[in-house]
Amino acid sequence: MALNILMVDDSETVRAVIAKTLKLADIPINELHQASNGEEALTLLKAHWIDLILCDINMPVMSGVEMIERLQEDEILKTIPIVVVSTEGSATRIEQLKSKGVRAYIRKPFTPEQIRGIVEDIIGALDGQES
Amino acid sequence: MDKNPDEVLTQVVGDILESQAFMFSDPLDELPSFPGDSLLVAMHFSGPFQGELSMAIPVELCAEVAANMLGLEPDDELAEHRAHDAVKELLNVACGHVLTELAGEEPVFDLAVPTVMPMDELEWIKFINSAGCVALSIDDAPLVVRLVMQ
Repeated sequence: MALNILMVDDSETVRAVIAKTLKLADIPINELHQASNGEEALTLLKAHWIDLILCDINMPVMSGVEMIERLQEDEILKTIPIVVVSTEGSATRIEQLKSKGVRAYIRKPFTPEQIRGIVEDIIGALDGQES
Repeated sequence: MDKNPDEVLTQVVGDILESQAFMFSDPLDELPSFPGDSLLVAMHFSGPFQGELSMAIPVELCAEVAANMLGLEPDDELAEHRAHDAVKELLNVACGHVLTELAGEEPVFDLAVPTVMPMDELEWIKFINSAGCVALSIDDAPLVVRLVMQ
């Protein structure tokens, strides 16, 4: 299954590094979309079907937490798996995010293996839903 | 807070430079002189305590950091274009790790978006002589990081 992935991070550099990491990890990608904050991501989600969201927390305009809360208010969008990729190391914050439906958390700086492992787990779960 | 903030800064920034930009740093015993065109990158944080993490860095080193993070040559135009963004991200990642090292994994901090601005010689001298600074050398280029906690 080739995925439509949305990367949400205010850093162009991080988005470029994640894109490169996904390619290096041989993740099957159909479309790779980018947004620099939560608001841009919500606009993009209205126009494109997305299978997986990789998002940061601290962003201008709309933070990752606010974006995740908005997604949870939508019956369809709340089913999209979300992986948070952030610098924060607070266990309390990570638990809060998971209680809001976040599937996994990757702490920056990340390795290609971490991204690959988590995305493969999610692809497996998505394939399981399809079969 | 049991850990020495200066030691934490030196360790965390060194580790992140190594893992994100494949660059190796050494602590400097003496304050570095003005290296020419430089930037001040800064970000506020708030939580159980608040403050600011900031970094004084030569422009040339910013482009090298960007190039290494993106797997480009240092003179690649894209590396120059992404230099500000790359050092803001470097500081952002450092801030998250410094706060976890100092405060532990339970407290929640809110991190502001980093800012970047040019720094002249007078500003450089004032910055490196202020409290809370540690100086590092990366391939003979200086990098000064400052943590201010209130």
